[in-house]
This record gives sequence, structure tokens and C-alpha cells, in this order.
Amino acid sequence: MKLLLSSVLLSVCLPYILLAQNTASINGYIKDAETGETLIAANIALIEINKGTSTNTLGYYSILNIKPGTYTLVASYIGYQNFEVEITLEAGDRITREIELTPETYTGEEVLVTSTREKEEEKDIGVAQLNTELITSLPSVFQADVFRSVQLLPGVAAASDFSSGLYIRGGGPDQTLILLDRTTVYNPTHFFGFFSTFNPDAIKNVQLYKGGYPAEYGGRLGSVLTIYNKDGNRNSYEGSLTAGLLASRAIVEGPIKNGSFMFAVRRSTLEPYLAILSQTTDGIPDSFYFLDINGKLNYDLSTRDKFSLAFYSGLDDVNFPINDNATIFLGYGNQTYNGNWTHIFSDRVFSNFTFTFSRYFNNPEFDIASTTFVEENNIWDASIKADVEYLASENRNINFGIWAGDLIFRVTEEFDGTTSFDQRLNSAYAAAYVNNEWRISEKLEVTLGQRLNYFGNGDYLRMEPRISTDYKLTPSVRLQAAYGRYNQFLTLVTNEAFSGFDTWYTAAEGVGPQWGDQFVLGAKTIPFTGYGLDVEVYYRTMNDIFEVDPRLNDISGLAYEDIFRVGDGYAYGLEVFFEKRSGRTTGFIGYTWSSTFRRFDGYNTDLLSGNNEGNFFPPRFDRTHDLSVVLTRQLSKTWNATFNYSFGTGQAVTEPLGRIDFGGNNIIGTDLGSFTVGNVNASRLPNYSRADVSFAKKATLFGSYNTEWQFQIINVLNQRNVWFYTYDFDSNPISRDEVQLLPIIPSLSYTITF
Amino acid sequence: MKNLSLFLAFLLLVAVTACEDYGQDDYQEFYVVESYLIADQPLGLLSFSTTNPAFEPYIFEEVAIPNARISVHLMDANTATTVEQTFTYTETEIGRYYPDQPHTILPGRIYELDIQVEEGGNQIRARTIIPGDFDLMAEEDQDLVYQSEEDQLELRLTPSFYPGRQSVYIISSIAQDVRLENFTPLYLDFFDEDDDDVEDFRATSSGTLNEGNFTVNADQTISLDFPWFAIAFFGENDIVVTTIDDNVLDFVNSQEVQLGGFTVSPGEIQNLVYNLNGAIGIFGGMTTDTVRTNILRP
Repeated sequence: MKLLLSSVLLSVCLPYILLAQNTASINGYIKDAETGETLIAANIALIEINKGTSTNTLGYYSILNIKPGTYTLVASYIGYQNFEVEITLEAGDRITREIELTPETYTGEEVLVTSTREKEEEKDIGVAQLNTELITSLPSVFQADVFRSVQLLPGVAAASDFSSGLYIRGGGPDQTLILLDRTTVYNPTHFFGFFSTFNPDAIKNVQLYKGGYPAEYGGRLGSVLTIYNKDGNRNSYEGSLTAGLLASRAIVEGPIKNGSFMFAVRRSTLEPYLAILSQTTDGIPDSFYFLDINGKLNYDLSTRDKFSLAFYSGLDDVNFPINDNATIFLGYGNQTYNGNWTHIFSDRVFSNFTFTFSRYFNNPEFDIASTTFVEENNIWDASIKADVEYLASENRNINFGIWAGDLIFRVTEEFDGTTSFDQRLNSAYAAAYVNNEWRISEKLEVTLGQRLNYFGNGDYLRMEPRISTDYKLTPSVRLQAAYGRYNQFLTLVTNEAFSGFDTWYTAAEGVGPQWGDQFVLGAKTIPFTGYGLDVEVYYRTMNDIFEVDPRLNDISGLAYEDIFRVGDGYAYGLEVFFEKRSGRTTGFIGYTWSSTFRRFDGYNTDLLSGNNEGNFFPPRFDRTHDLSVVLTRQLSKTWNATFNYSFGTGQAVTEPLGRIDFGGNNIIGTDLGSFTVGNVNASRLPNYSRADVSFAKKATLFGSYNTEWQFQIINVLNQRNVWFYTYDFDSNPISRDEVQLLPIIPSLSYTITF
Repeated sequence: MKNLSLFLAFLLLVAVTACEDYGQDDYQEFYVVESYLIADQPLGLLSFSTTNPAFEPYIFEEVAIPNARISVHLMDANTATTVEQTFTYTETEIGRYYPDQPHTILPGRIYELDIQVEEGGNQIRARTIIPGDFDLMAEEDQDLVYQSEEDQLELRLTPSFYPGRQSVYIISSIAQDVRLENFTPLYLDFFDEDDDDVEDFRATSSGTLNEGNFTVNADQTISLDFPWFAIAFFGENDIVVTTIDDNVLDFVNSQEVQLGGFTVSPGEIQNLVYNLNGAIGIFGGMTTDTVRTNILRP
């Protein structure tokens, strides 16, 4: 038996061993030259043989099986100057080379891209990457925001100006897995959804997998957003303070022995406004703030072993007196902790082991005329992950790993001093995956993946095949296709205008997981040097969608499976992304044509048909056409301008057709006006458009501190977009009023960097 | 570039051919029925009308349906499929019909509605199960000091019964002396002299409450503390506990969220849930019990 095993291993490995003896390899980290931060998805290639790769999520790269010779090694990353060096490799060389890229600074000259190969890797199907400089420079309401920047990408929709929720390729916010340093974040919002929780100062990288995402990830029907905190400056101590109209933030970072640290704080600064407003206006909160703290500590035990610890803690706190006899208190937030160990076994085997802990809570309390209502909603999620990248050959890269953990969902409700609802859901979960990236030829690459998911609550085991292909039609045109099956074991109860009460529920016995298939076709092109043009079409299904039934006023005493409505849906769309990547003017135009539908029994039924079968209808966030234009212009060495314009055809809305006035009675209420409708959400609101501008001026303070003034105007044309309509049944005939979205809003911030 | 153009043309073709045919439909008129059958109370009013275009003036008399042949059948207690007794209705005002003979609604029994709009024309049918009887065991005419912990009214009742599910209740407070100066502080804060009428606050209602909210006592009675915030007026108040049938449950729950439930996006409007054949509206069954209390100022 041993002999047989040895023979098999030898036959598999021998060609690689022999090849390795005759070839060389190069590996290492790619970093920011100024801060030492590793760069995720940076590209590296040997120009002469057009051989390259990109860094993984820890900034590591490895190129194998290089024939001996002298080559030009080129590395690039958006926002950094290209790196170029000549290297000579001998047979058998195993070179570890750390590469430092220097951030681009304005020189008045166009920066030219010198190679295409090193640009290719970042352009995987369905993937978009946002650079944090763009996030902070984009005009934003009071505060730079990660999610609002993501909303500008094609395929990503916003429910309204008031919501930072991500509606990606026809999916709701719960269909996107949000990972901060590999740790799930369950409610990534502040101000009840107006902002996301991620402090742009503390963030290094934002990557969005809009669809067809690889087997490495799972647990959501639609997409994955990965966010990585900064590691901290490894070369020198630095920090910055930013004072804004709504919130202020501070960050310090610097080196420690064999490592670095980063600590960032952001807090809203609304109190002075509230104090002034409360003197003249009723209904102003007694207190209202949000707070974020991010921290990270890195330690390199050796060149092969790196450790990091990261945490995030965020809180929203509001104390709101409705009047003298009614008060609402709401506290909600997230905490995440993450420990990471990266170990390089060899130039072929790279591994990463992670421990994560995530907690989400919201605790609303109402005190109305001595009647109290208290809810405690908690999620605790602890998990371990192991990911291994094995470079089997220059043409084959195998990734595999596991993710296992335990989830506890606890919701208790106490009404008037008596517990009225107490539910504890506890579920183990586990997943294992393998991804086989196979470069079949210079032109064709195929990735086959398989993910196996287990969810303890209900004892569900689900297989998820994934496949993607990449065909290089010409040096500047790549055709791509992907298919994947996805399962989701959780569902979110939320309100698109108010995320403070967000509550998650899980699959369970009698409540099967949601599942769906995604099909994506795409073309990634470089039509001209320095430009990119990407086109993707997608079709996806959503089956067994379970949501808490909106018509259930009270769930006490109901069987768990009876609190949900179960339905299905689908979405399809076309996305075009035209990007200018370099030069004094950069930016992109994103266009989306899309449609999405849902169906639930008992909803959107034919009124007199006598059956409960629902018909498909578009959810409110459905928009047919969506256009975003984002332009950044370096006006001079100190002045920078950013402009963005969004246009969308109107969102779906229901047109009331008929009315009824029920007399009612003293028990159910009197004068109960109601509408009859036809097809739900079959009408459209007026088109949406908004233009925002931002100007930033860099300067120095006392000759030694860098400063930046940022002046922004949101909705500079003061376009009064409509959010929805309200109806007044007290008037006869019924009157209709518009609820409008954001008016023109100026904003100012000042940053000192030391 | 030629290949790319072909590919883009293919994508465009996929996109165009995938277009949905889902458009806005037009107003459709429906018959509307409204009637509530309350156990131990007389069979009463049935209103019969049609819907009205949403944004045209609504005058009941103009949408009322006259001359309909209406009858309500009490079904056999054992079989529930044969008629035990039939009650015909007569139109007393346009669109408003009353039974021709007196009948007290029986708890736990099934009633069926039958409307013939015109000879040989549309027929409307509906059925309700009157929830099982129960007793509210509370002392009559109690004096309760508003917001006093010791005086909080405990609603203790023998459980009702409804086939196939737990009982669902609505608890209401109906004030007997409705005057501005009798407002409790909470409702005085809510009251807007310009927009509101004091009479609008006479009755407050809990919305639907499942039996799961109640405490089950050793003697198999169930109990719930009546919340102070439901009291709008000092003075005498009738506290009414009502258990409802599926028709009322579906109607109330769907009516409350039609123009904005917590999880429904603003602007999405779903029809109410009506359990009638040939019409929309409500043919609802309820069982109630009442206790009178006197709410004193602290």
C-alpha cells in the first residue's frame, strides 16, 4: 500500500520536481513604499514572457517555473507608480523579493501604463475594487462613506438617498456577505442606515464580488464585500485628525518591533446642533451619537510567519423623547475581533488561519405612559477559518479551506414587565471548499470550484458547484463566463429607511435555506491605453426565499416556520463600466440595465381569483436604467475636484386604483380607508438625478503638517427627487403628497496629517 | 474588434429578449361587503357597495348597491355543511341592509353569507366561524388610579377557542366621558387641536394579540396586564376583550400594513386580504366580553 501511495505521489509530483530543478521562482509581498502596508490585488508580471499574477488578500505573490534568464519584473497598482526592475534568474533560484510601490503624486504629466499583463488579474468576472482615496474624495453627505461609494458601481443600487444599504444585482441587503478582516458584520450601518460603519481612514481595501463569486466564499445568495483594515504604517509614526460637520475622526499608526499598529476613532459630533435645535424645535433627541473604534496590531515572527489582531467596535445611541410621556431609547452596534496567522510553507504553499468573533446587538426600549417595551436582540458568531493556496504548477493554482463556527441568535421581548417573546437559535455551521484554477493555454483559463456547506439548525448539507472561465480573445479583450450555486441560511428583517431594529433569523427545520443559481457573461477590454471597458450580463434565480411575513402583527405562540413567507425570485441585467485609470482626470461611467422580481403566496394575488397564489412583482428598489459618472480632476498640485452624477429611471411603486371606506367598529377601529391595487409596483416614480461636487485643497500648517480642506455640495442642482407618496384619507377626494429625497446640502471638513 | 462587436451584440440580444411584460393595469370595480357578527349580540348591519376610483370623491350613497338579495345562514353545528336557519335581509337605506328577523349570534358556530346582486347575476359568498365563548373575570366598576403599579388592571379570562390555531385577541378601551379635560397626559400630548377631533380618541385598540402573549395560570385561565398607555381618557372606560375569526385577523393585519408596515418598503401597496368569493370586504366573526372600569387621576 505504501509503495502504491509513493508511486502515485511520485508520478504526480515528479514532473513538478524536475521542472522546479530546471526553473526558478520569485515570491514575496508587495507593499506601499511609504507606509509598508501590503497591497491587495496588486499585479506583478515578467514582461518578456508575459507571465504574472496578483497578490492575494495578504499582499503575497508567487510566480513559479520561470525559465532561467533576464527579465523585466513589473508591478503595478492603481494609485501607485509602476515598479520596474531587471532581474536575472538562474535554474533552481527561489527568490523572495519584497516590492515597494510608491504612491502617485501629481506631476502635471500623464502617467502611462506600460504593460497590459499586470493589469489583467484584477479584472476577474463580477469583481470591482474601490480604492480608499476615491472613497474619501467622493462628494458625500457630511461624511465619506464606503457603501455610498460602492453604490456608484454598476450593478449596485441604493434604495434611497437615506439608505447606505447595498442592493446588488437584484438582491436585498441580506444577500451580500459583509466581511471586515474576514469577520462577518451583521449590521454595517450608522444613523439607522444613513452611513455604513466603516471608517474610510482605517480601511485599506474594498473589494466587491457582485456575482458569480468563487468557492472561497459562501453563505449569501448574491454577493460578497470584503473590507480590510489598514495594518498601520511600518516605517514611521503618523496620524491625522479630520473635523467634519457631522462627525470627526482621528487615526494614529506606526511601527512596532517587527510589526505595526493602527488605531482609529470616529465619532459623530451632532450634540451642538441638537442643543441649538432643541431650543426652538420639538422632537429633537436628548442624545444622539455614533462611535467607531478600529484597531489592528501586526507582528512578524519571521518572513514566513505573520500574526495580526484586529478589532472593531461601533455603537449608535439615541435617546428620543416623543413627548413628555413617551420616550424611545435605542442602542445598536457591532463588535468584531479577529486573530490571523499567515504561514508560508514554501514558495508553492501559502496558508492563512483566522479566528473571528462577531457580535451584533440592538436594544430598543420604549417607555410610553409607564408602559414599557424592551427588546434585546443579539447575535454572537465565533468561527475559525483555514485557507491554503497551493501553486501546483505555473498553470495550476489550487485553493482550499474550511470555515466552521457557531452562531447564537437571541431575541427577547418584554412588554409591560412581562416577557412576551424569548427565542434562542443556536446553530453550528461549517463549510469546506476547493478551487482549482487551471490555465489550460495562454488564452484559456478555467476555475472549477466546489463548496460544501453545513448548517446545524435544520441539519442542512448543501453542495455548491462553481465554475468560471476566462478566454483571452486578443491581448486587450478577455471574455469571461461564470456559473455558481449559492445557499443562504439567514434572513434579515429590516426596513429600508431604518436599520436600527435589524433582526436576523435562520433556516431551521421546516424553513429550508434560500438557494439560487447565477449565470454571468462578461467582456473585459482595454480599448485604449489607460482606459478599461467592461461589459457583463447576468441572470440569477432566488428560490425558497424566506422572510418574516410583513402581515404578522404578532408572532407570539406561533411555530417558527409559521412566521415566514416563502417565495422565489429572479434578476437579470446588463452592466457597462468604462474607466479612465490614469492621468490628471480619472474616473468612470457605469451603466446598468436591470430587472428583478419576487413572488410570495398571498401577495400580488388576483383579488377575485379565489386562490392564494402570488404573481411576480418588482421590489421597490428595482430600477431599469441606472447611470453613474464619477470624475476626479487634479486641478493643480494642491487643488483636486471630484464630480459625480447619478441618473436612474424611477423606482417601482404601486399605483392605487380604487378606494374603499370601511366603517369598522370600536373593536377594530372606525373609518378604515384602504386602497385596491392592480399589479403591485407596476408604476414608476419620476426619474432620479443628482449631481455632487467636491473640491479639496491641500496645504501645510506651520510648515510641517499637511492639511486638507474639503468643500462639498450634494445635489448641487437641488433636484427634488421623489422617495415615495403618502395619502391622506381624511380628505375627500384622497390627496397625495410627495416625500422627497435630499435637497442641496453643502458640507465642509478639515484634515490635519501629522 | 469584430469578435468583440459580435459578443456585445449577443449580450444586447440577451438583454432585449429578456424584457418583462409587467405593466400598470387599470382600475377595476369590485363589490364591497362589510358586516361583523359578534357573539351574543344581534345579527346586524351589512353594508353593500362597490369600490370607488382612488382619487375621485367618495360618497357611499353613490357606490352603494341597492336591491340585493342577501341572506345569512346559520350552519348546522355538527355537519357545518347543511343550513340550520336562514336570515334574510332588507335594505333600509341605500346599500345598508338589516336582517328581517332577530337573531343572537352564537359563539363557536359557522355562518355563511349569500348575496345575489341581481336575478341570475353575480353571487357573493363568505363564511365565518364565530370564535368560542369566554369569560372575562374581572370585578365590574373597579376604581383604578392611573399608572399606579398596584392598580394595573389584570385581564384574566377563560380561554376562547378557534379551530386550527391559537386564539387571537384585540383589546380595546372605549371611553364613556370623552372630553378634552379628561385626556390622560399621553393623549393630551398627542392631541392636535387643529387637526384632531377629541371623539377620534374614544376607542383605542391593541391590534391583534396572540394567545401566546398571555400568561397561563394554574386554573387554566389566561391573563394579561392591561397597559396604561391604552387609556386615553380618565373616567369610565369599557375594557373590551375580543377574540376574532380568520376574516377579521387577515383584514386587520393586512389593513395595518397596507400603507407602511415595518418591513414593507414605503410605496409598495398590497391589497388587503379578503376571504370572500365574488367580492372584497369583510364578513367577520368576533366574540367579546367587557368590563367597566373607572380610571382615577393620580
